[in-house]
Parts: sequence; C-alpha cells; structure tokens
Amino acid sequence: MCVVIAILEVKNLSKTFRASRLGGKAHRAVENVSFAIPAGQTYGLMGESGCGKSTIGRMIVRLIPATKGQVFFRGADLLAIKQRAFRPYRRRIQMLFQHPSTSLNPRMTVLDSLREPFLLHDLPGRDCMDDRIREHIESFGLQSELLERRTSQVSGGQIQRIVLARIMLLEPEFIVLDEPTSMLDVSVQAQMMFLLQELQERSGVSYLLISHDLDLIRRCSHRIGIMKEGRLVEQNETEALFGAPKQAYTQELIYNFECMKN
Amino acid sequence: MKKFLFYCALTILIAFIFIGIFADLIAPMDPDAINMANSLASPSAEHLLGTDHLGRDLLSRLIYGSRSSVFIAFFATGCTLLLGLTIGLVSGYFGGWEDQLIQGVVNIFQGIPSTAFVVAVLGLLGPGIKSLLIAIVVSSWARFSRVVRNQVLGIREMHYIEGARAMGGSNLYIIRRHVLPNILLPLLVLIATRIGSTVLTVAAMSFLGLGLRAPASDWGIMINDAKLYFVNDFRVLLAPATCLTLFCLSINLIADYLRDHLDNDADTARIL
Amino acid sequence: MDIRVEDLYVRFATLSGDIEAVNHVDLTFSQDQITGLIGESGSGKSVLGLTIMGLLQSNATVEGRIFLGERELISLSEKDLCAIRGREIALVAQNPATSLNPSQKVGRQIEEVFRLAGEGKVDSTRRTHELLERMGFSDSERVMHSYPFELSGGMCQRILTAIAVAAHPRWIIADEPTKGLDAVVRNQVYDTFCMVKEQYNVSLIVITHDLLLARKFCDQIVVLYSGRVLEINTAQAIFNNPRHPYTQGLIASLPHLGMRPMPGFSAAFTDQPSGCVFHPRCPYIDEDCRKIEPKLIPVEEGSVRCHRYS
Repeated sequence: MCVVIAILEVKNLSKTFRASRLGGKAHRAVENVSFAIPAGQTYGLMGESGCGKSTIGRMIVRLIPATKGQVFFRGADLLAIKQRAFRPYRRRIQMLFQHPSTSLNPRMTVLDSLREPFLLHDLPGRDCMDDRIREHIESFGLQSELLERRTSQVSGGQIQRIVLARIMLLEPEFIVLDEPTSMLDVSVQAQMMFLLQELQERSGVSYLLISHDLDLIRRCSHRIGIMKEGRLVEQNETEALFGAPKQAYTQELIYNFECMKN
Repeated sequence: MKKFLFYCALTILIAFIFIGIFADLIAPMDPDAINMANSLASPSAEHLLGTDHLGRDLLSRLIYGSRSSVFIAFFATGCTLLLGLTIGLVSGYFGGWEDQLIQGVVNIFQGIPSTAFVVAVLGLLGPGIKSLLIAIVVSSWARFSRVVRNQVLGIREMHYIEGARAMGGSNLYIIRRHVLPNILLPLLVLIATRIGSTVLTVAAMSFLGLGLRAPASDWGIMINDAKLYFVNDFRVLLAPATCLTLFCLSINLIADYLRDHLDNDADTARIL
Repeated sequence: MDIRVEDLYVRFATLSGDIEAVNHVDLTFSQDQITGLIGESGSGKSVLGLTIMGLLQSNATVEGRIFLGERELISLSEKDLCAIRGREIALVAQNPATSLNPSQKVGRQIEEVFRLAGEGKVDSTRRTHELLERMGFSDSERVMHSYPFELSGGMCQRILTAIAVAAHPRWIIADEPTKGLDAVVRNQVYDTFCMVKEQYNVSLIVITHDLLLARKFCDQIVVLYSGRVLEINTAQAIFNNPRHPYTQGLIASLPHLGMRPMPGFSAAFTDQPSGCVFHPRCPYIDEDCRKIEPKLIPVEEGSVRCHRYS
C-alpha cells in the first residue's frame, strides 16, 4: 500500500449542543469522529438524517465551533487558528449546501452573487471581473443570459452550478459537499456529480461528500465512512466496504438500499 | 382597482408631504392672524374654507397643520426605525445572552399599553414637540425590534448567509449585503402603518393638550379648538378630521397594497 | 371507477409570461393499476395531480376534461368538488413535516375527518384508534396523543396516509411521498402504501421523481417532460426496455446504473422548442424532430412519443 498525503485529517472531533432551555438535555451531535481525506480524492460520509454528518461539515468550515477535537488541513490545526488568521483559509476551504432555494440571496441577480468572491478576496482579474465571470461560467454549462436573472427565477440544478462556479472562482483545495444533490432530480444529479468529478480531475480538489444516498456515495467516493447517531461506525475503501461490511448497521443500510432496487 | 387605489393614495400622501414642506408658499394667509370680527365665517373668496372661532383662516391652518403632523410622523417613525432596527439586528443576528437580555427588555416595553405609555412619558417630560417625539420613539421601538429580530432569525438560517461566511465575509458585510436587503421590504409595510398610527397619536396627544400647544396649528389642536363650536358650525371640525382621515387612509392603503404585492411576488417565485 | 384525462391543458398567467404546465395530455388511470407519474421538477406532474383534485391557484386556466367514472370534474362547482375531495379522491401531500398541523395532537387531526363526516366524539375516537392500528401503529394510544414533531418522518407520512384513507376514498393521489427521505424511511413509506392498497382497496396515482419507488410499487408508469407525456408503459418495460431517449437518459442517470448525465437542461416553460420538446437534448436527433411534434405512438403494450417509432 502506498502512502498518500492527507489534505484533511479530522481527529476526535466532537460537538455537544447545549440545552436550548433550562432543564433540557444537552445533545451530543458528534462524538469522537476521526478520519483522513487524501489529496485529490473524495471521502463519502454516509448516514441517516440527524446522524450529525452535516454538523461535521460545518465544523470543518468553521461555521459552527467544535466542542472538542482537531481538524488538520495540510498540517495546520484549523480549529486552533485565531479568527483573523483564519481568513486565508476561507479561500482554500469551501462548502456547497443542500438547499438550492436558499443558497443564493433572492434579492440579488446571479451576476451580483458571482461578484462576491471578488469583493471578499483579492482575486486576479478583479478590474474586469464581469468578463472573467462570463468566461468562467461557460465551463459550468451556464449561459451568460442567466447572469441578469434574479436568483429566484433560476432552477435548482442551475443554482447549484452557479454556487459551484462561485466557489471555484476562489480556487479552493477542499470542498465540503453537504447533500449537494438531494433536492435535485436524478438526471440533474447525474450532471452535477459528473461536473464535480470533472473538476476534481482537472484541478485536483478534494471533496468531503455528505449524503444519505448510499448509491450516490458508492459511485462517487474513494473512501466511505458510515455514521450512526454521531459516531463513525465503520470506514473503509469503497469497494472493500461494500464487499465485506463489518458492522451490522452497515449491512442493514446496504440491505435497505438493495430492497428498493428489487 | 387595487392598483388605482394605491396610486390615489400615493398621490394624496405625496400631496400632503409637498404641502407640508412648502406650507409658507402655499398657505394664502398667516395661520395665526386673529380677526375676532370675522370669527366662524362661512367660506368665501377670501377665506376658501372660512374661518375658525378666532377668525383665523381655516385653510391656512390646515396647511400648516399638515406640516407639523407629517413632519412629526416621519421623523418619529424614522427615529423608531433606527433604534428598533439596530437593536433587532443585534439581537437576532448575534443571539446568545445579548439576545436574551434584549428580549427581556422588549417584553417589558411591549407589555405597557402604548397610549398610556405616551401619556406617562409626556407627563414626566412635560408637553412639547421634543417630549412628544421621545415619547413616541420610546413607546414603539420595541415592536419594531421584535419584527426585525424575527425576520433576521429566519434569514440567519439561510444557506446564502453560511455561504458568505464560508467565503470570508465579515459580520458587517453579511448584515449589509445579505440581511438588510432581505428584511427591508417586509419592514416597509410596518413603517407605513407606523406612520399612520403616529399621526393619530400626535393628534390625540395634541387634543389632550399634551402634545403641541395652541396657538400652533396642528390637526389635533384644531379638533380640540373645534369641540366647543362644531354644534353651530360643523365645518371647523370636519376640515381637520377629513385631513386626518385622508392621511391615515392613504397610508394604510399603501401599506395594504405593498403587502399584497410583496406576497404575490413571493408566490410566483415559489410556483416557478 | 377509472380516472380519464382528455386533452388536458393547464396554463398559469405569471408576471414573466404565460406558463404552459400541462400540454394536451390524454391519460387513463385504470382503477386496477397503480400508476406512477414520473418526471423532473417542472415536468408538470404535480400540476396534473392538483388539477385532478381541482386545487389549482386562481391564476391557472384549465382546458380539456377529466372524468371520474361518468362525472366530468372540471366543470363541477367548488361545492360539488368538495364532496369529491377526500371522499372519492384523496391527496397525500408532499411534505409530511409541513402538511400536518404542528400545534395539534395527531389524534385530533385524524378525528377531524370522522367529525366532518358527521360522527359523534366517542365514535370518532374509536374509529381513529381502529384506523391507526390498521395502519400498523401498535401503540395507537400514544401516537394519538403525540404532536407531529414527536414522531419520525416516516410516521408522519403514515399519519398523512391514514388521514387520506380515513374516509375510504376510491382514489389516492400521493405527491412525492419519498422526497428527501433516506432509505429506511423510504422503505417504510413503500410498506405503508402496499398495506393501504391491500386493506382499503383503493386505486393509487403516485407522483414522484423517485424512479426506484416507481419501479417497485407501480404497475404502469407515465413519463412526463415539459408538460407532455413522452412514454407510457408497464413498470417492467420502462426499466428493462425504455423506448424514449429521455426515459433511457433518466434510467442511465441512476447512480447504480452508471450515472451517465444527459446533455443540456429541460426547456424553460416560457420558451419551448419547436417540434419534439426533447430534441435539443436528444442523441438521435433528426430533421423531423426539429419541425414536427411527434404523436403518442402505440408500441407493443405501451406507447411512446418519438419519431423513431413511427
């Protein structure tokens, strides 16, 4: 087995949500989760809704603080970095969200939304950003007449592409994909995942793919982690995991999916 | 039909604002010029709407009245908005113990009936335009901030806020670019109704003698003045009352239309 | 009683122009078969279901005819439609989380159906118990006194189905029953529907973009695209031998069957292509496809709207 360099390594990550009111129970959303993602690969995180997989994604991107644990990105512990010093990482680590309907500000046009990376970061070609945007979105299968539309008049599949195009303007090294296609139709899902794989081959970006669709995860990930109630119950290379699932829960999940297909 | 009413209302509102601003140029006479010999005169070429019990030109008093009413209404609403918006934004966006504290204060303020509150504050500060403004702002910011907070709480959960943060947007950037534009339109409706009720509050306080003081011309004072004479000459009551009603009606129609229109927009977007 | 849709056309007037959501659709839903309506969002499948229920918003124009047995539904008054809704055709709405009243206990929401049918309080409660037990809730007492948020997504879906069958309708229209649900819950939904079909002898129309559910549960499948029927066939045939290029593309898009993407996007409602609606994305495009809209052509047991089969 060859040694691959991990771009991201999660160690003993935990998150406990405080009780929302007095007397309520604290909720342990994530408990001691550890995994590593090799550069240029996709790690699939699979679990039922409410198992804490999205919480992990949000902690990595530092949208919510972690209770315990470390996240190493190219050797640097992301969770230990001060707010101010974290800013450069905001370019290198990005996140794609589940619901297209709220992924873009409804009061803005598509063009305004795509300009945001230029306003927030010192990207090359800032002076002629509109031209750069026009050129850039073509490779995402988006036409330039879309740019003038309000985001509320664009279909879900196109919104996910727009958001992805916007993320790619920042040239990130790592993207958390939080159920990127669960709200899309199968045909649009196939297009989206194809686009994501193409981007990976071209730019070497790594993904953490969070999904509850085992078929999708199997198709698109190099390595898979199975989560249940905040814990990572099993992880392995994709084919090894499907070939010989060790945990009863994994077997049950696979069985449930096979059920649907027969 | 709704659209027609909206434009009528808008025209009336703009007319009131215009009249208020250019009162000195438009008013045919000095609103405070007393002429006891000509009291309670019927409309004539000289006094288009006649005169009141002191012989002052009714039309000119109405025109100057709209100045004070409209000015106070807009200014007070503006101040309320500024205070309520800031507090509501902080409370809704940042959450945590600040939010809990602010909501506690808001609850107390909201528990007090607003008219009684205004009267109490005016009693404490003494009548006058400044205390009237303070009283109105103090008694109504809480509701504003509550609405703003609820809107912000809804928007805070949206992916585009998370997305902007993930791209490195600061809190200020996110509030300015993503939060404010999305709460402003629903707020517009609230602002409009607020202006209407402020005019009524001003008139009511002036009527009670707690707001503006005679001889200043204000619709509330005019109604107060008229209460002794309207049995003989209904005109003196009718004129300021009509203005008051017209102003509030137009504001409410505008608010109504805006609300319907905004909802419609949201509906269409949802179907598509 | 079959549901027959004849030359149905539905148009919405919106600010950005007219939208033709259902375009001259002829369909027969046979009472002995479960029909699956599949298609992407924007294919008009949900609109078709709502039109049968007479539940479209005011900016919709409906032309054509819908028969329930001998009765024509479109020309019925709102009052007559109310008598049909729920009692003859019931709807299981899309999102269980928002379709149940969050502030009312589940039991009361089910009892309401019996109360509306004119039954007394004691009887309604008794029948609610019976219904819940029949729907496979072993602890109906606890479920009745729960609020929707205290139940899982699959259970809420089952409650919604229970409400739909409470009045013993002949037909149930299920709108996207598995949207956004994970595998375990999806299987539960499937089991519920199977049970309902057996116990209540209802006919079902399942509107879904979940191809796997459609294959497993439906007898007949109708493929919709841009408001038009592109292919009708048995579930077996649709999956084993898809005829229309769009159906082929859909099935190839499934993750476990290759996940090969189709080129292009579905046409915007406001500017639809001439000729065949699918021609801009079709790998077999021909000169005719650009100009002439194909008719629905019978092929063996099914039918397909494509020039290649004429």
